[in-house]
Amino acid sequence: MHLVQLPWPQQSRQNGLALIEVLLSLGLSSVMFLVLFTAQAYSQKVLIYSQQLHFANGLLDQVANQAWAYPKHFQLLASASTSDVQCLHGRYCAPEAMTQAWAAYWQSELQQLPNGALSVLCLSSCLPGGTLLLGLMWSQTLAPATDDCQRGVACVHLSLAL
Amino acid sequence: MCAPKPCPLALARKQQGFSLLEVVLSAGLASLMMMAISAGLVQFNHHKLLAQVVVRAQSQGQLAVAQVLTDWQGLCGLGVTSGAAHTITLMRPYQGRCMQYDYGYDGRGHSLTRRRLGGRNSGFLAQVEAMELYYGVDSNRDCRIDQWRHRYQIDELAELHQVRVFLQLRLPTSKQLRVAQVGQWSWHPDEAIVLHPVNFIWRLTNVCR
Repeated sequence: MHLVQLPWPQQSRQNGLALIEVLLSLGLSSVMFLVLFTAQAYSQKVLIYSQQLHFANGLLDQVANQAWAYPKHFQLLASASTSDVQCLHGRYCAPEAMTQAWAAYWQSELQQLPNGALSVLCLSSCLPGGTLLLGLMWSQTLAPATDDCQRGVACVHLSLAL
Repeated sequence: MCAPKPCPLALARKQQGFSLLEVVLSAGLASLMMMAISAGLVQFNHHKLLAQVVVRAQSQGQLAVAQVLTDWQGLCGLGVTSGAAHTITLMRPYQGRCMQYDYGYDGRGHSLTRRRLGGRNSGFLAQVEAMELYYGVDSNRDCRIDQWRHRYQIDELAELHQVRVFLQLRLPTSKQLRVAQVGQWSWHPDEAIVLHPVNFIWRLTNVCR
């Protein structure tokens, strides 16, 4: 018979996979997994960045409201001086002490952002007619470089007409 | 021809099975692959759940703020007449008339409620775990807030400038997410619910203008 006459090595080659084929498929699977994990890790970072931006916008909105409430003490809103926390919980406080209490409150809120910093600047003047610029920045590897911020630093700004 | 004569023993053995080393190696590789696949699936599921909660937290938070601020704008008459930590009473126009509205928190229904004078309580904002209000008042009429307190009653001595609203929204999710640390959120002690804090300030625009 013709089949019986086939040499052994040829028959075994038809029945299974060569080691190189197995290794190649394993290698390809590992690369695929690696790509999937990397994409997922990146997506997770984007989610965190999005949550940080959402939080920062809410925080800036609250700071803006306090800037309106204490027009003569803008600069104190971004300072980290000692304050009486009871000013925000029922105690009567002068505007300066109240502003410092708010500043301390913002600082505690900023702990949620890595290296978070709040800035309050008057463009041109702090008088009516001027512009107040509220800014919030924090470390974020995904943040692109912008006119105001370098790469790796996320920035959110809010301009208020005084 | 090989058939009539017996084949060499060594050649026949090699074709019929695997060596112990091959079995051990393939089993090891297979388990590694299985572990990677299972870890990947768990991770994908976790990521999907987290993404869902993040998106829901952001949209629900924005919606809650917009709904409250929209409802409280355009006051009439005396404006805010009184308030406590969990309730507030204000005057709003209704069909051309200035009517009193009571807003409060319903713990059993987990919602904010609204009631027009003479009417019934109706759900106003759903999925709320807690609400707390602070009233920023100017007690010496110098147009500066000098006190943040839990109670407010309209009188000639104190003028209300702002209201700080602390809301805690409920976001139902899977228990599988519980193992992870989820930023500023906390977990409900009994249920599979993420509690998302939403803080904002309502500024009364007609004060000191």
